[in-house]
Amino acid sequence: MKKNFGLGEIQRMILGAIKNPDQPHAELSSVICEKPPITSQQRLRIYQEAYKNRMLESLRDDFPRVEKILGSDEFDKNAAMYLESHPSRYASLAEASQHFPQWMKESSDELYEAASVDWIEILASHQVEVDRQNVLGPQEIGMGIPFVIIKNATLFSFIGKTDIFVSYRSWGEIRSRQMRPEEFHFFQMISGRMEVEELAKLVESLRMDEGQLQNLFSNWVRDEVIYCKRRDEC
Amino acid sequence: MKSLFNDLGVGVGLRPPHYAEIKEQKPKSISWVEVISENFMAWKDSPMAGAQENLLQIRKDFPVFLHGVSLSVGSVDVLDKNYLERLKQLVDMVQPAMVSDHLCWTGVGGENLHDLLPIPYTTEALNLISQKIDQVQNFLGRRILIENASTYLEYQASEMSEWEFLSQLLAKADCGLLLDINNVYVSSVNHGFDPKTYLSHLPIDRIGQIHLAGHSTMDGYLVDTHDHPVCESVWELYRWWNNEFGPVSTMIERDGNIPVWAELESEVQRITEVRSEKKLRLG
Repeated sequence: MKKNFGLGEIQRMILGAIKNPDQPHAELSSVICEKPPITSQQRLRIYQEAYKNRMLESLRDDFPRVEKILGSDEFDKNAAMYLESHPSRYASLAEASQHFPQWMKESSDELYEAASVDWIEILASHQVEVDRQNVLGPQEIGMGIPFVIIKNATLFSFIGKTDIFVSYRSWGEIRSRQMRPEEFHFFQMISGRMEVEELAKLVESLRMDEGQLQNLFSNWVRDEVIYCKRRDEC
Repeated sequence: MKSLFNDLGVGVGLRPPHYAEIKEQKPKSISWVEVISENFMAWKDSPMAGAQENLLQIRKDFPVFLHGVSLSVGSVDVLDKNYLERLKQLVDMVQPAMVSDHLCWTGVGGENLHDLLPIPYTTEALNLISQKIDQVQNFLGRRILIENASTYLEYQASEMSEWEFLSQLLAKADCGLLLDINNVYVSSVNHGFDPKTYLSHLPIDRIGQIHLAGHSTMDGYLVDTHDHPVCESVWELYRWWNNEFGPVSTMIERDGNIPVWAELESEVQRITEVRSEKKLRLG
């Protein structure tokens, strides 16, 4: 006898079948129409495959470093376990990835670190590009034009076991680099917008090697970790 | 019968590989762009400020249509208030020409499978979905469009055809239809109905937008993959529809194997050609 299922019952059965393709779902023979050109099981499989492929592909795209360490097969196994324990309750696939680094922490520090760096790259990619109006190049800085120092506001950091990783946007690209703890400490002490005189005082208080600091600073300007903007027009 | 919506011409589904060209070249071949709403909606760890800024720049030159994939009006779950609030923020910011989502459910029990799952065409579903669309329209303060999705299975519980369900829903919820002609074609092959019967039974005055896209041919069925050019059968259906019922804002969707802009633009220009056939005939 045909059983009339309500909308909620149908949806719970279909959701269960899509998420658990390896289990039998005999009850669905009373739910899905059996009609050529393909069987009802083949019809269901289209949704099962699409779900699996979509979710795995999204995680692979978001965490390339983790996939590189684990290899494709092992990554997929881990991703499937993650999805089982963290089913998406979010509107976008990007949001559904957000707990993956923390989940990876249970496997190893190396994987946690790799996933966290991948994640800060994603967050940096969502930021607004730096406003380049009145940004000074190294030559102009050398000419003595008064300037202020501005931190790249798109920068996200992750403090690993031994290294500190930063990711940020520059000319539409996402750049990532490692910082030594003392470099990062110095970077953190720079406020969002800083006068040169304030910076000089900070350098003095830190008692850092001047040559080393100059080198660090010009690298940061070159790599756009910080910007120098004309003081009078900023 | 006068349509509830203005014909805004020809558009394209804007995807990141074409941002630069659209921003810099402002191509004359398109009059508007459609984007996926969720890709621009702020969330907890990310305000999506970069994406929103890009969109606002494009908005200076083109009207924007917001097209969602996670509203899930077909789910028995209540509407996600947080999602609606974020959508409203985006709508208020972008002031889109159209706002749309799908006739589907994407999950239940708070879960999202990120797929456009088919609904049974029953009175129960009709009542539930029309109420939910009504809530959305009241919350957003505007009429929305609901798109027919491609489907790969049908339910024994269905009491009517998809086109009968849609016609009743549009009237009951007082919303518009985003007619995806490729989806009609894909479902017609998968379920064995005549696509022209489907198209002929829709209320023309409620059709606010048309989608054209490509699909993949599998062993005995079609899948709506958006990774191929629009096939000739779909172009034929579009031509037929345009000649029968007149022009409606129409665009190409491409989400996989995205070609260079020049290649996609030639497909977009074909829409203009088809639309002008009708005008010539009328002339």
